[in-house]
Amino acid sequence: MTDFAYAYARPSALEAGPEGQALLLSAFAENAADAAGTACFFRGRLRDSWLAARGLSTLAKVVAARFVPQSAVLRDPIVTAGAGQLRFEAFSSCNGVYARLDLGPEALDGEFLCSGTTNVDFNEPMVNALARISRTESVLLSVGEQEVVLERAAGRVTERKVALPERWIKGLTTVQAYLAQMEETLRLTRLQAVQLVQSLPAGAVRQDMFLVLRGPRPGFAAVASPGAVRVGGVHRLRLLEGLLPLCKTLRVYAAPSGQAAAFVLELGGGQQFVLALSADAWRGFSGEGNQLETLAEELPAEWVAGANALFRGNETFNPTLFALEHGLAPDTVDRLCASLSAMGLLGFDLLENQYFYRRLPFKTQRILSLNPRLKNARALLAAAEDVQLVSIGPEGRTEARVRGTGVWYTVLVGGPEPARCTCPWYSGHQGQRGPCKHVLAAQLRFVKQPSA
Amino acid sequence: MSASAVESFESIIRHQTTPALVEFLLQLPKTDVVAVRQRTRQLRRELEDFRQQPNGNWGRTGTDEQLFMLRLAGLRTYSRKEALSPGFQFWSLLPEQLPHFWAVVEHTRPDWLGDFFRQWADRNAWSRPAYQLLRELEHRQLLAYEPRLFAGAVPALLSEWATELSQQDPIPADALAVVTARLAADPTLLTRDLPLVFDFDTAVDGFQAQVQPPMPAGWRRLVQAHSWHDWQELHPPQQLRWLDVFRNLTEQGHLARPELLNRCLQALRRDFRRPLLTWFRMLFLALRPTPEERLARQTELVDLLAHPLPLVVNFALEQLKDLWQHPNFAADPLLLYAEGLLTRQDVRAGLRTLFGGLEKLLRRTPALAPALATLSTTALANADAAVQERAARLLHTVLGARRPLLSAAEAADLTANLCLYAELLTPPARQLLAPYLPAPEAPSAADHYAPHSGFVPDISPATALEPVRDWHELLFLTGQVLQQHEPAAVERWVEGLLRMHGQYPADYARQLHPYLVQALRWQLKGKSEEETRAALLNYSFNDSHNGRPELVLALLVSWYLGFPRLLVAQVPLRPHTYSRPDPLLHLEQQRLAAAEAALQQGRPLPLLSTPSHAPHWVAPSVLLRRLLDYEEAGQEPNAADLTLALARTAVAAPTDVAEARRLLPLFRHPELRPLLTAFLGPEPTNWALPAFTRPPQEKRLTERLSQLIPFLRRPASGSAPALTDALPWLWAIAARTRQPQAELPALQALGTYPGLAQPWQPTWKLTPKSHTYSQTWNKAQPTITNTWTELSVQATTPARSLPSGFLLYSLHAAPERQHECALWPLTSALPFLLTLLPNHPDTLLWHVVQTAARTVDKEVTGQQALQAVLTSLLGPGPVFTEVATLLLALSLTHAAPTTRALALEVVLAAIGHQRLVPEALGRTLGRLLAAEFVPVLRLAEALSAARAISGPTDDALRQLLEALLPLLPAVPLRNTRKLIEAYVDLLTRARRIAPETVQQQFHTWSTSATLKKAATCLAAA
Repeated sequence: MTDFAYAYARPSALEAGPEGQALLLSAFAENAADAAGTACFFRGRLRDSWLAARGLSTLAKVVAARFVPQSAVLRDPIVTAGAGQLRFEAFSSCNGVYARLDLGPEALDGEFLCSGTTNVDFNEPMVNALARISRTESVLLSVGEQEVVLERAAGRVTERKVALPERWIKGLTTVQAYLAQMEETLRLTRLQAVQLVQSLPAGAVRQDMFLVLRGPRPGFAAVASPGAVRVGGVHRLRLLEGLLPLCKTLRVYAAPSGQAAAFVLELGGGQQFVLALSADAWRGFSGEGNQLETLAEELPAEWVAGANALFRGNETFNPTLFALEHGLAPDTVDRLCASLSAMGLLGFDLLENQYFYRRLPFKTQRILSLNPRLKNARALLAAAEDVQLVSIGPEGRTEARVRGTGVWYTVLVGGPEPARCTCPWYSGHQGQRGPCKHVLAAQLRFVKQPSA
Repeated sequence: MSASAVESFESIIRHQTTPALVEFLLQLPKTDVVAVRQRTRQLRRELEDFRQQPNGNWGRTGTDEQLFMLRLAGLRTYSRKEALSPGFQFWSLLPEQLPHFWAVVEHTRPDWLGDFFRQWADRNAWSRPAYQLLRELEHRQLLAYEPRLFAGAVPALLSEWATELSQQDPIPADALAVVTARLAADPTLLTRDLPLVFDFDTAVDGFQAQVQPPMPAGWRRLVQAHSWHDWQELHPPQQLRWLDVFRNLTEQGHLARPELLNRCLQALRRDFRRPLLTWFRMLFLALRPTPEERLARQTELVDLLAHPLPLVVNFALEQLKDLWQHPNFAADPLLLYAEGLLTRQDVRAGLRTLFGGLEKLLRRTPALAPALATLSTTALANADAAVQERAARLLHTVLGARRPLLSAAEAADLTANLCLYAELLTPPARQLLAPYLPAPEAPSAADHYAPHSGFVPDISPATALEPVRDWHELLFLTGQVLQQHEPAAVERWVEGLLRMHGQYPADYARQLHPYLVQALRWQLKGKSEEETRAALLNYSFNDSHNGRPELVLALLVSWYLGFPRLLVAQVPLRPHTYSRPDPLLHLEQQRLAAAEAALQQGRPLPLLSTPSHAPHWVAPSVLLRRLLDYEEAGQEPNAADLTLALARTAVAAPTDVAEARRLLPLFRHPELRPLLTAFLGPEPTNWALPAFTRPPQEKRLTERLSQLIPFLRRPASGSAPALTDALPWLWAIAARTRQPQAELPALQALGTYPGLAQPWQPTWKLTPKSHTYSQTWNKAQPTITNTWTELSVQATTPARSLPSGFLLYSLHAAPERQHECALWPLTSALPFLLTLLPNHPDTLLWHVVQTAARTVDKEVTGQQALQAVLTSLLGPGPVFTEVATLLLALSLTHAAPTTRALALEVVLAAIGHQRLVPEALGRTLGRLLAAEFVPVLRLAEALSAARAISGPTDDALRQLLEALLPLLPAVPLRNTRKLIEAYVDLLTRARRIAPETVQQQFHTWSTSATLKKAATCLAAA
């Protein structure tokens, strides 16, 4: 576990001022130098403050929720400001639910003073205050504070130690890969969204449910059928109970593997709320390992620097532009997007079907060091005889033996088919939760990546 | 490290008292802190150990004082890490301990104190740090003020004060007044901390205390028969509740009433726990706000309509109810919030109130008609019939007003919108809005549902199962088989194992080694390959709880070792106290043992019973080709394998059967050819059995003796008998597979066992059961009688044990199979067992009924068994038989929602595949409901979920209800109204008239007050 000392200048608060209520969100970024410090990112008015407050309250609800027995700790969301938008991202304490509130240009009436990504303080009094914003109330929003440095110098820093586990950061990168793979499967009207809430099964549901449209009515079926969306731990959708009746359209997305589903609520007025669920309530996004193969490949440092130089927070990441700038082959671009997203440099917008640039407010080295399977794979490679080549078959299908604890695992990598291994991880998950360390080690040693 | 300091410390802890320790700790130099910290941890481990004392009681090793001293030492020496560990706590501090505590904490001033108390408060809602302690810490600048921490500590004050007041002599006559006075006397508490309970999720709703003199220790002995009740009567306790305290504070002017009302409403906006929200509601009501006060807070009350919990929404609507017609009541914000409320099903009572208010608004301000009409249209999407009816009534008022309330364009828009909701309307709403709705379309022939007349399995390339492609696929399939035990995967694996014999790589055992370690983790963990081999050579399966996974594992072990000895047949499958393996598993054992033997001999052929087509069919032509291969190789088929192959053969696939018949002349086996000729014949035959050769007298005698004398037993219990011996039973299986429900007099020659010549057709009945037990200590209720209804299966059972384990369709008729201990092994094996009998699973299904469904409670193993059966019913197949229908009915009304949800999927799938017989399901459900075996509500909910999905679905449900409703009792069961509403809805949309039997039933029910309205809807439909 890694502890971050969140040094907020002051707690976030909803304060009454001469111009009405002001929602002041305090910010902190570990990579402050890269992310333009904790200066003020945005200051302005929320056009529909009641709706935005509902979205932020739901986000706070997600942050405080947990669906496995473990202590609930309020983890602060991160916010990306820039390109006329604010995106608030957060996870449930158990890492199985990802939520994002996007406030687009239509939702904001104010000034973006700088762009970047930062943690924002979500404390309980502020969440309380959010619930009190009424429909007709005008609210000013401020993200970050200009006078932070001065206050620090004066020694008035509000320290709040948050034990932020590694998996939280890892989940932020993993979930983007799932979002990027997803396809829109269902589009529901507001009425259907309400019916969906009503059809949620009671209690905590252990087995998978499948969201289907029967006639005009959406509902959850106990068995899979064509066009149905697999939703594991369906009771987690109750987090949206307060927000679904407010949406204009609900779009449901599913990963082709069925390992994740996302619900995008178009709230109108430039606001949208994304809720992504992992395959099961007991599975956090952090343990999925779907980014491991892309992380195994090291990106040239100039690409990362180039991405930093080319794009600002929330800007649509245009892979073609990037490829032209760096002279990359078109087939390298997809891989590049996946790699940058795995490093926490890209988020994915489902409605736009585009990556957007946002650099997580954590050091890149920290993100890269979070994957034990990758670290273990590299450790296996350290001993020359622990990963042995057996044969290379048609289409580059490579058979290898990798040493385990008292056993030798047979590993198949390369070629068009998915990698396989005889280890318990692979037998248990059949490759659905990313490659095991044995596969990664064999890939790193024997499989050549297409060059840029 | 100073050894003397540590020694002194230990000596003080062991032999001295707290003052000595405090003195020591205050003088402890910085350099010795770490050493003393380590010894503190060691001593805590020793003295906090919970063990049996010399006097026989259990308790801590150390004394209370020693434990307190160790905590003081922790306070002085611990770093943040130790201080925040779960074991370090300061529970209630006794008055005599407080000076020592303050001395140490003032001296040390630990920087972790804030986190320590915060963590303490978070860990346990019922044991938070005392409020006064926190205040004192704050006062001494040891703790920064934190609202959440202080808010959490406030509620317990009531208990603390009540305890203190109870110890006064005499106790105060008005404890509430004393508490109120104490609060009023502390401005920080009153104005800063007490209001925090409205901002945080505290236990203010749960704390109540009583002030009462403590009962003397000898009270019960003073006068005979003195009891706790007598003490209560002599000294009635004074109850203290925060609700009364707040009310008192307001009445006495210590708290501002308007502020308190506002705080209640603001707290109600939060997503607090339901009981806490209820408490805020009660406080608001306890203050008895006047209409003027409520009117002044109409914005806050209207804001509550967006709350997700019905209790808050209903409360807000109730508070607004009498304000609707007030001239100062602003309708616009209400209408804004009402929009989001109208489609909610959980606030039905509130919605009725809301519509009452909307009607008043319409009368007060007719100009609101367009907005109200739009809202009412939205409410038509609510699935609740009563809400729809209220909305329809308002729409009817707006559209039917003598003086038009809407412009022509508005009226046209509204009517067009109404048409969008036409499909969702319940009969009462439809009746009210009929003039504005288009005439419903007449149902087409495509909307009619009828079960299919004959089922033809799909034996085509599209359903052909793909065999294992190469060694690697076989290797990785091994892992899948061991982890998931999926029946189809196991079949593919066995097939691959046999077919690829001779093609395994030289180091195949080494590659299999990780899987063996996974499967036998405890036995093989940490063993090298040589050690693993040595261990497995002597490995034997234990004598209980074996099933198919163990059989597969035995085959894998045998394969790994290179088949030095046959292991599959040695897996014990004997009944035990808590486990009775299913009899079909013996056949599986014999089949896998045959595969193992063939592999050992090095000339394996594919098993005859391996499915060739999805889901588990053996195509007749494939069976013939496999038999021809056996004949060509000069091998006799294994009897168990052939039995299962016959049971799995798709005899109802005419094209492939014709192809098999074409191959039949090539097959020359003298005994099997006539059998297959009859089995695959174009028409069902009269099954003229050949004359079988009876086993010699000597052999029969040996077999009988072997059952009694162990050393005469056959080499392995899991081996199949010779084909010739099994031939009569093969004929029986072939005949019953081909004609599951026919009478087969030709088979009478084989015996009179159930399911042989006569189809085994059990019946079922529901029997009331009761159990009475006495409780002598309870004079008011000395006996308790529990009653319940049990489902039992009535059937003929064989007078003596079956002559052969090959009689697949009779195995479950034996009475010993009905044993309770058969359920667990049955449930785990059921997904596989159901694949064995695709043509005639009824006997197995009856077995499931009598072991897993005698009561439809939430027992998990029974649920799993039902779910396994339901899963097998999801695909295409023949129409449901009586027992399949019974299982479906039981599952559809099961106590477990997941089972009901799966059963509903089966109903919908069965309608799609035309397998459902609605009348049969209706009759079965009618019997279950009429006997009150299951509640009506469960079925009503299922029907509502299946409503309006498609024309055939609606038609099937209508047929189901028409068979069910006449069977229900004249005195209506609870929730019968919901069934009637569902039926009327189906009838209305299908534009049909109820049959005579149903009309008679409705006539009977129309006298009932609860059903009168619903029953009269039928006449209007």
